[in-house]
Amino acid sequence: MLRLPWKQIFIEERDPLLVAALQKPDSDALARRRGYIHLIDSDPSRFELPARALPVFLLSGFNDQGTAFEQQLRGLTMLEELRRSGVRQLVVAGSSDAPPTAALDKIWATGFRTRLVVADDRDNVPEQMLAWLSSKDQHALVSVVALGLADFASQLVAAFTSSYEDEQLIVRQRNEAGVVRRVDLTDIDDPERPVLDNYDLVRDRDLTSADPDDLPEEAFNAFFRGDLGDWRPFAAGVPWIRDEGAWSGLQAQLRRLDSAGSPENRVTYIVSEAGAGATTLARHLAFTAAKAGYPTLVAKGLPFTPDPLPLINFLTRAKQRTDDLRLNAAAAEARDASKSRLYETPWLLVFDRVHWEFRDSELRRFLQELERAGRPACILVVTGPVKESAYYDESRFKHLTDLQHLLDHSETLELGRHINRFLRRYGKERPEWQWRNFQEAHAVRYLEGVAAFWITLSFWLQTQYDLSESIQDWVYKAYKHSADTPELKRAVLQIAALSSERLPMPELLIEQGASPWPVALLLDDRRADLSPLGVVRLSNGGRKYWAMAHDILGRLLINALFYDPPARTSMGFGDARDAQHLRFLILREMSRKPALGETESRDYGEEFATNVFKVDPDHGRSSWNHIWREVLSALDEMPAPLRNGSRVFRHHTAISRRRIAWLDELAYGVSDVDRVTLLERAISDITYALQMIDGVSGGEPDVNLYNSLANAYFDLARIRARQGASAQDLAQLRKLASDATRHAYEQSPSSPYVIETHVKSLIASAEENKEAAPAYCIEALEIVYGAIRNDRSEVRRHALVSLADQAVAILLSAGASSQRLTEPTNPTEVLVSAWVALAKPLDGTAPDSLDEVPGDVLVAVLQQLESPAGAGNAQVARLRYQVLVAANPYDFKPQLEALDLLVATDYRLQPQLRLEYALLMFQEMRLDEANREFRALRSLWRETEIFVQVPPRLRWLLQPGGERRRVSATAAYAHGFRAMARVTDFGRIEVPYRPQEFGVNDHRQGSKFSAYVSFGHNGPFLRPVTAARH
Amino acid sequence: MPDERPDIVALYGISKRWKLRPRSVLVEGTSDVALFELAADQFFRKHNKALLADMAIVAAGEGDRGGTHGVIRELVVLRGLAATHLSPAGWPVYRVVGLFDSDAAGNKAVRGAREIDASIIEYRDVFRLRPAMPKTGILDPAALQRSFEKLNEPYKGLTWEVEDLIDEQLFELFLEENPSAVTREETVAGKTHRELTRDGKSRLVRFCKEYSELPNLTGMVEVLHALRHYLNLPDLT
Repeated sequence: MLRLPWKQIFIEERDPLLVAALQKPDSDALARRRGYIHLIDSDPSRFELPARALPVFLLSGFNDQGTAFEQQLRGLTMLEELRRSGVRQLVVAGSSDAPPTAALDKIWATGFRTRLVVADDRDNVPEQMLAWLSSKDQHALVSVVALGLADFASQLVAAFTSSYEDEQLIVRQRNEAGVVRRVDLTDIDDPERPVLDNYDLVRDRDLTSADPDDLPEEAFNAFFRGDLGDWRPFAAGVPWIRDEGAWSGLQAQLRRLDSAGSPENRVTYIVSEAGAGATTLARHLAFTAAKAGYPTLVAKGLPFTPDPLPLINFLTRAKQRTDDLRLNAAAAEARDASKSRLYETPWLLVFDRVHWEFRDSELRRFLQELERAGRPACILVVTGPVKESAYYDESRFKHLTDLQHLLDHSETLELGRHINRFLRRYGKERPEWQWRNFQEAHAVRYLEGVAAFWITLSFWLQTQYDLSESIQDWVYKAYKHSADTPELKRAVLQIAALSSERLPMPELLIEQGASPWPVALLLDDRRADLSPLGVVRLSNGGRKYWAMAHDILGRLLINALFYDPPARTSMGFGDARDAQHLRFLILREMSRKPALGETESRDYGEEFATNVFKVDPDHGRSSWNHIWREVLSALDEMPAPLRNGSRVFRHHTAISRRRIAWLDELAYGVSDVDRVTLLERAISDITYALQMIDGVSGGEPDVNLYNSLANAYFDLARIRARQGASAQDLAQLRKLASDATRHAYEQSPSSPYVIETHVKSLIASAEENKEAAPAYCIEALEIVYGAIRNDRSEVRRHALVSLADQAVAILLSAGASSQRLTEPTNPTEVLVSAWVALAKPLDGTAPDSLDEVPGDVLVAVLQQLESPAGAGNAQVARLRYQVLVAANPYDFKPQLEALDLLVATDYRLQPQLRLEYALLMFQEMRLDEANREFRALRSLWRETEIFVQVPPRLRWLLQPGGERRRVSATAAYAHGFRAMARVTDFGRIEVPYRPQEFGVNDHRQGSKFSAYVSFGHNGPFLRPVTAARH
Repeated sequence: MPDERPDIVALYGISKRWKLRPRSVLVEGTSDVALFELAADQFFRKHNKALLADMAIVAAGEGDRGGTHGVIRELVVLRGLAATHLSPAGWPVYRVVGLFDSDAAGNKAVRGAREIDASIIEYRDVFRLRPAMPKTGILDPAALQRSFEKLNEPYKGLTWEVEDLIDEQLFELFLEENPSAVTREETVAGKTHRELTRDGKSRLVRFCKEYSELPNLTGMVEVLHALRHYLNLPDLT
């Protein structure tokens, strides 16, 4: 019995036989469920158990050893473990003569309360228990099982075995021929640190198609309540998918992985307004992909920091298992298994908005780690409507679809017909006019800014809500009705406040207050009553969370409470100045919980700096601007272990301080003195994070910290300059900024963030050193226009052009325009006159990109750049290449010659230029050199974090005139290998392709076909002649 | 009860030196604001109806360059803030939309706005100034789009900016005094777009302030009526 997957076991009396039995070899099936058994006979706070384990606390130790003090300490610390565990049920079983209440007295004395099950066959035990409980003035639920210990144990084990037969991890997995088979991955997860604590694996049994008529109403309702853990509604086709474009896009990406493996790993993403159905769509895609034979992991909808390492290990063990099975099958059929050794079924990894929001560069690194490990995987992420910077990098990120709340009449009616198929069976079909009314009510709300289509639909479908009152009135009424104790009221309010930030609330943060009964259990008891509020319970590896199904519900509840002064005053929020301030006060209460300082809650605590209390108006986080002092104090008052041990926490509070330093004084009262204080504190926090806190996998890397540090110094220098600081002080600050920039640039020269900072640094140097200003400005402009050409983010392009403006202005004010009158005598003069000429058509401001400069100006600039004074200079050569591209994008020959010249100067080409060089060599059929360069580049991408883009003009192999060039290809390998073909004219170079795109599952070796050649950052790839150009 | 301090949206407005109202329109430049305010002022004098009492027109940026980028940037911020500031009944108190010129930058900005914030929808959150702006009909974005496209079919391809709303007579007078203010003219189906220099724009505003009367600014008043319709404000025609 003790080997069952209990959360904890406490053994009161010393029993060597029992201990010896527990030390015997364990069952694999049970270990998979609860980790391994750990016998603990001393203070448990001194051990760190694995994430999953079954601790057996020996309250009397192995042999009653230790002094009286030690024995007492052992007992107390073990009971503390029980008290902190928050278990929902305690089973008391034993064979001693003492009444069961004897064991409970000590536990109850700690303040611990829970539901009880007592196994005891003595006659008077029920009465004893009731008497005991009433003496404690408790209303705990107690069940007495009238069985002796042996009977109880054997019946429990039998019941467990029959209900929870050994779970197999069987998934569907396609092979290289596209045939889907069932593969047993049981045992590949680490029992002690299971990946499947954080991820759901879509199993074969989840994928069995279900008839809509067979879907129980409860499963249908649970789906609309936001409880998405059950795959049956997906199997029955409940999700209404507006267009299948997202699956087509995802499928295309998975097929690229089929063909080319991990170098084609990508992040695919769904952009969605909150609550517009992205989680459902992501799960629908997960279900579809798993059904198609792509094993799929879906991250549980709880905040955690995805760590690539355990995931890679999991995927590697899955590969080994598949390889073993394949080898065994081949041996059984006496065929050669080595022919199919190269193919590895790609995985789909699905994440929701909570996992990667505001962490786009970490997501990029996560992708890179998977590629580096050689595991083919497609990542699917949900992002909010405002995308972060990395998502604009089309070489790694693929947009699948946008979701909004807006549904027109015909779409709503179509949705109605779809849903009615299910409702009909439950006798709850809605006539068309009701769907029409629903759409009209929604449309009015939507235009006025209330985006809650699905949540309203969910309430409406469950006949809880009839559209006649506002959602806020409805929610508040439900709150007042169902939260009927002060502790429950507060807990629901706190859940609402965190849900308004799209965070579920961990149970360990729930306040017990004066409630005689655990509030978490009260919430459990009231789950049905709370469902009109959209309150749901989530769990992850034994940890429980509570959340509202939609952030808007949380906001509405808090808004309603604010406008009910007696109610909020009774809860201690009489001082709230507005609804937003009330929301802050509730969140601040949560932020002070000591539990957030504990290691296991660190990720959650960091959310307060990165998300909940973040102030960053440029990235849409302005709602705390007006109470910034209180918000910063709240962050400073968070538990010290979090503040002192987390780089992420320190960094993000520093970012908020930097942003606040630029808020307006009139509106927000940020004085110049405040600005200096804020920036100095930001600098000290970042420096602390760099020097005192070690970087960890998946944490804040040095490059981000150095980049922020540089910006903080730049900001401080600007403020101090405005205050009239001495030139010496300013020079010192700029030097510190420049040093930090250099550190960041050395670590990640192609990061868009770092590029921007580096350019700022160059401009600051130009402003300081008039003599060297032209050289600094030229370098800044070269970097800016190199970056603009490859950056699709309008915001970033605009920021870069603004910097270019500053650089041009410095060039002009330095009297650079006068140099044009005379013949340049050195490369700097050549470049200065070229940039001045490029800025001339816009009255001396920098162009948005070189492509927008008139052709005649570009021709004139090219002539200037060919001046003998600039010969042999790499900067001149690079600008000449950029201008050639802008002037004649499809005239590849001179572009390649320009890069040849650059290479000849023995200059170390930047990765982006190396990529363009390789691509141009392909275009000009210098194939061997191109192939060599790509080989080197592929290893560079694997080893370093580089941001590069294939320019649109070089995406296809073109023929003179700009049309795509059709090539003849010959399949090089027979069935079993990653498909490669030889292209006539390409010599010995083999190019990957996907036979399915050409209408066959496999090409026989030697089969001939026509194709276009497309290019990615890894090299050429064959596409059918029907492939769209864009 | 709530204190009397400005709310978070109004405070943001103060930080930008705007006086926001429950319905606000972000336009590209200060000269656009000046012309709309002038038209509203003339309309009030004649009809005693305040077009801008419950609707503000504010400039997102100074000069040409800040224009479209500024509108998008501020729209994203203001929409985020507006979603958090709710009335006692739970409705957003503020609604802010963007108005772009119908030129290359404006057309690009409509696409750009969606690139930056995918929840921004043309004909609900951003509009392009067109020679004909529908003032009636349902406000569903798709229906409004159809209405825009039908009315503007004759003017396809014509660039259209706020200054083009000033009537011909007054513009001719302005050009007599400022012949170099216009760099290019384009007429399609009787509607003329004039490309003004930067300096020409500010001179035109000054000229209008000095000489315009309500009939010269009818085009601007019509656009204000149309904007009120899009923002679901009472009809003041």
